[in-house]
Amino acid sequence: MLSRRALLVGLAVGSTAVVTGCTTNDDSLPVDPTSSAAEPDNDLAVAESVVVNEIALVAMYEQVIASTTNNASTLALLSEIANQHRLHAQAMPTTYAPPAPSPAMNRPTIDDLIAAERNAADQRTSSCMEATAENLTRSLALIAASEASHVQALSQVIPT
Amino acid sequence: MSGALEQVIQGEEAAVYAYGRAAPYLSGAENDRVRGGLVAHQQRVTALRAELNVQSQPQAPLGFEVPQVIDGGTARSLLGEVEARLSAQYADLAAASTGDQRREAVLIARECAVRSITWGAAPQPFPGR
Repeated sequence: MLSRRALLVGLAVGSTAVVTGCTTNDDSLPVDPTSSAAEPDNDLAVAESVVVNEIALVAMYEQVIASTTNNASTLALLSEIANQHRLHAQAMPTTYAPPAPSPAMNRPTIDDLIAAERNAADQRTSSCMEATAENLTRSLALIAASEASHVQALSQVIPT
Repeated sequence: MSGALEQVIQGEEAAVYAYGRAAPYLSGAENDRVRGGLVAHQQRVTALRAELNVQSQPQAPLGFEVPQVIDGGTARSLLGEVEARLSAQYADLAAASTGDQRREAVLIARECAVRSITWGAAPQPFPGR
């Protein structure tokens, strides 16, 4: 069951905005970007909402990384996961470059990241149910799995 | 859809085999988790095979090519890899199905990815891909 706190974090993360130069297409990723033109508007809306949330997650990780309270191995994990969220955004079949989010929280912690990842995995599961194109559906299922695994990986971090 | 389902069944059977191979090298709480994983994967094989028409059920393989398991480290590594691969197979099943079956496939893909981490695998952006 999603906690109220996780839900609130997820909503905040998913709804904020400012500009980044992030692009969203990469031929090396599971979804074929060339197929986006043929996909229904519904899939495009799903893809864009995922991009917005993934970029917001990256911003949240960058906030936590910027804090000085994490040891080297934790920082490496956080950087790796932040990069995975960039790859998630790039895997979406859209060229939509969302506005960069303004901070959703003042000083997010690893516990906040865990809540946000849990919420993201649930959101991706819901998006997967809405998607119609097979490639997009597969990517969203994989991303949901990845984000669920992030929850576990972050939960194993030993507090400093 | 049945192609993806057959792939998942083979992945689940591979997982059962891998857990069996890993079990002797893991003790205590880890062995409990191995037994839990083994039962979960066996149950999935049974449930998934029931979804397929009897005539189209794939033959249960005689064995699988897996990396050599010689100690706890290689046992964990094998289980982490098998779970991640299974996660990707369930994502394929999700893509090939609709409704409740798709939701179930995504939720199991998530479970497999989580178990992969508990066996020491690193998080992946697209587990098993």
